[in-house]
Amino acid sequence: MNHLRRILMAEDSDADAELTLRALREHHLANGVIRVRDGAEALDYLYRRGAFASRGEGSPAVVLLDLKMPKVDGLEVLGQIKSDPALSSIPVVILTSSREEVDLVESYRLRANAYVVKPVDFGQFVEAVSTLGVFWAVVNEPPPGTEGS
Amino acid sequence: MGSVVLTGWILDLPLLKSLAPRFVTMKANTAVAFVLSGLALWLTGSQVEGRARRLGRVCAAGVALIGLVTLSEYALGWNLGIDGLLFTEGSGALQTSHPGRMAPTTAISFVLVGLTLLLMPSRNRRRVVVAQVAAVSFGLVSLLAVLGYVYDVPELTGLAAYTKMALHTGATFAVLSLGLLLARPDRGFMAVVMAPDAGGVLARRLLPVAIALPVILGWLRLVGQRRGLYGLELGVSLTAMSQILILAVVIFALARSLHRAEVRRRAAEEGVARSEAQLRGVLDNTTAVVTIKDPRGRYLLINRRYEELFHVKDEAVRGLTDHDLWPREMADAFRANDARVLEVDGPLEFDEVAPHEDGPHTYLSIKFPLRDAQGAPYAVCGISTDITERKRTEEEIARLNRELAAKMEEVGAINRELEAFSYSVSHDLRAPLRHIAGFVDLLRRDAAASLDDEGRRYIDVIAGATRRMGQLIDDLLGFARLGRAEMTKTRVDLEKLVREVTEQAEHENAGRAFDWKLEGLSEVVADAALLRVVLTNLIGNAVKFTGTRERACIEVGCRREGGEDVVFVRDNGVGFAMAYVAKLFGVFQRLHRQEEFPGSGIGLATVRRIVHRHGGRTWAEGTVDGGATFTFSLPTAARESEAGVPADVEPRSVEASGDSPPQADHTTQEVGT
Repeated sequence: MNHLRRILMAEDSDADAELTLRALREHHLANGVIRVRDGAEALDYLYRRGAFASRGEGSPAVVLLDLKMPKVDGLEVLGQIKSDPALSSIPVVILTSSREEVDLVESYRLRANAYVVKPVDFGQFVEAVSTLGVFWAVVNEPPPGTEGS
Repeated sequence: MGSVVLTGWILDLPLLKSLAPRFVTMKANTAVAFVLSGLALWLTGSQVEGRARRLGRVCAAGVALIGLVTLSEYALGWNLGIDGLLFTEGSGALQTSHPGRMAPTTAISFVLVGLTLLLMPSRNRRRVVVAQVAAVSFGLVSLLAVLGYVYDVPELTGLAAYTKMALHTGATFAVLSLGLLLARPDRGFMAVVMAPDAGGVLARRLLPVAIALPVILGWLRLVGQRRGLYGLELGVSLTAMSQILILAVVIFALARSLHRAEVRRRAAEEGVARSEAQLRGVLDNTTAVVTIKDPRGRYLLINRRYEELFHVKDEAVRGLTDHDLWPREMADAFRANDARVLEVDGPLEFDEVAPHEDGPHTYLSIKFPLRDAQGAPYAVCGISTDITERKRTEEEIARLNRELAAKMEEVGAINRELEAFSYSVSHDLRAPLRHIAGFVDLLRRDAAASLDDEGRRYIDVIAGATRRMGQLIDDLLGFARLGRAEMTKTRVDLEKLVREVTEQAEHENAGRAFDWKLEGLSEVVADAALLRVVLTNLIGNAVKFTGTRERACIEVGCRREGGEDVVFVRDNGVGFAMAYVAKLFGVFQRLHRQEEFPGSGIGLATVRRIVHRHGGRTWAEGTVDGGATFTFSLPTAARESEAGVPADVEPRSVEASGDSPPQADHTTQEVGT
């Protein structure tokens, strides 16, 4: 098996999370996925605190971030990651239903690495998710300090 | 003169003392008295105040005293020793009754001079007149003495055997008399003489003649007679003749100049009357209310408008005050404003309220002081314009503006709400849809084998419906975004844009046969991206609705009409019944079943919305099975006169963005092809 890198998926919708996992599974990427349900959990994971206080060191190879989440929304998480020198090198991909230009503009202003609109069509969805999963978790060379499996 | 003669006495110069050896001298006392008189005249002038003025009075008193003392010497026959006090008369001088003592006439004159000097500055009218009479008196006495010298009649120069008045004494008295009279030109009969009117002119011109003429003629007569040129009778006749002649000429000249002055005055009076009539005309025909009130608030004048509005007469209100005419608070306000005008001594503006039959009216009053010839304000003039209507309008406008602002606020809130709504639709509505699509697909992949054909068909229907719903949501969101998107108008090459769109359409419909006909596609002014959406929709429709034709003939053209570029897309497709034309551009309005021609019913609504945002219009023509023509217009850039459009052609109003096709404007030259 590949040297599997971790993918942090912040997604409040179970259905979306399942579909995303299903898509990643087709490329054998699903096992490296850590799923959190809101922005607060995502930050807990990244900062190794709360429920994640005892996890091993290292950052995920990529963060898949939904924008609309309870407690702390995606843009806040993005802003926090990119403004913290310790985290700012982690690639963040916005994976959202929103086609709104304000979201797009704001995400790139906060230095998101990519912005992907979830297609309604499942075929397209699978294609999009697996493409970006393969790219970020396999093709792309992550910054040093990225956690392994 | 006094100091000159004193110098003569000091240096013993006979010329200065008596002018000629055969004449009597001016006595030293006389000279001193003259010096004092001069001082007194100078020091009692109107500009002099305080101590100097008192000194002047002392000098005047001194003059009178010298005269009185000398007179008393004559009257009582004593010698007080003042005559030789300063200088003793030299033996060579002409002998007089009392050596060194001034003539009694001189003494009397000095008494009068003193009197005049003391009384002239007085505020009392009667005293001034007395002073003037005194001045004239000693003037006449001195004139008599001078005449005595001129005519060589010794009797006239003094009284009986007493000392005579010196020649220059007489002349000095004459000058002094004139000077004293002129010192107060505004009082007594000098006021008449010095007045700037016809009487004054007459007096000033005739008096010198009346004084000088008899003197000169008398002297000539005497000289002639003494030389034996003519006898007494002839002399009298000649003098009379000359006097008649000269006086007649002088009077004629004077009368003529007075006549001219009179003519001028009358013309001026007529001018004044005319300008008064003009002013009265303006006053009485203006719609403003005009008042003139004196500083104590008494009416001097009101104009006709005032009379009509408040049912009073000009003559009736004269002398009345605002408090006689108006309720107390209003009158107080009017008076306060008038007082303010007098206080700042310049024009001011006020809002004033006056009661009318239909309630209080607001006036804009301009009030200013009226000044007399000296520039002192003697009245306050007010010009008041009724601005009730204007005020009402202003308030109405202000109210409407407030309402509008509130409405705008409301619209802004609704817009924000709408934005939040569409955001929510975009995000939340698509999520479950994605889930349906996703899991239906998973169902198809994982469980297709366990379903029968009917079950698999259901799954296909669900998947199709989900896709369609996703498309509808995307279209609807796009349509909603159109209203908010920023618009940047530039010159767009219509031909290039149309070619790109048609090529895309051809590419998407490979295998179909198209006849494209593009004509007159010039540059238009529009937002390039939005214009592409319009053309994509219209050409896409044309392509769609010609799907049943063997060859699709699609024509895209542009012509310039009035101030607009009119662009049309014509096809030979299935067309539509004109009865439904009004429904074409509505959101979700469709004339065909989904199975016939697919679509969301949002394309033409999008077209209309974009064209309206550009200030243009949209319309359509068609017949069932006879093709359709969709047309939209875009305003040309302001005031452009290219392609031979006459410069004076009025561009059509940009606001004409109604929903119906425009009335063809046949008076406007059709240009462009």
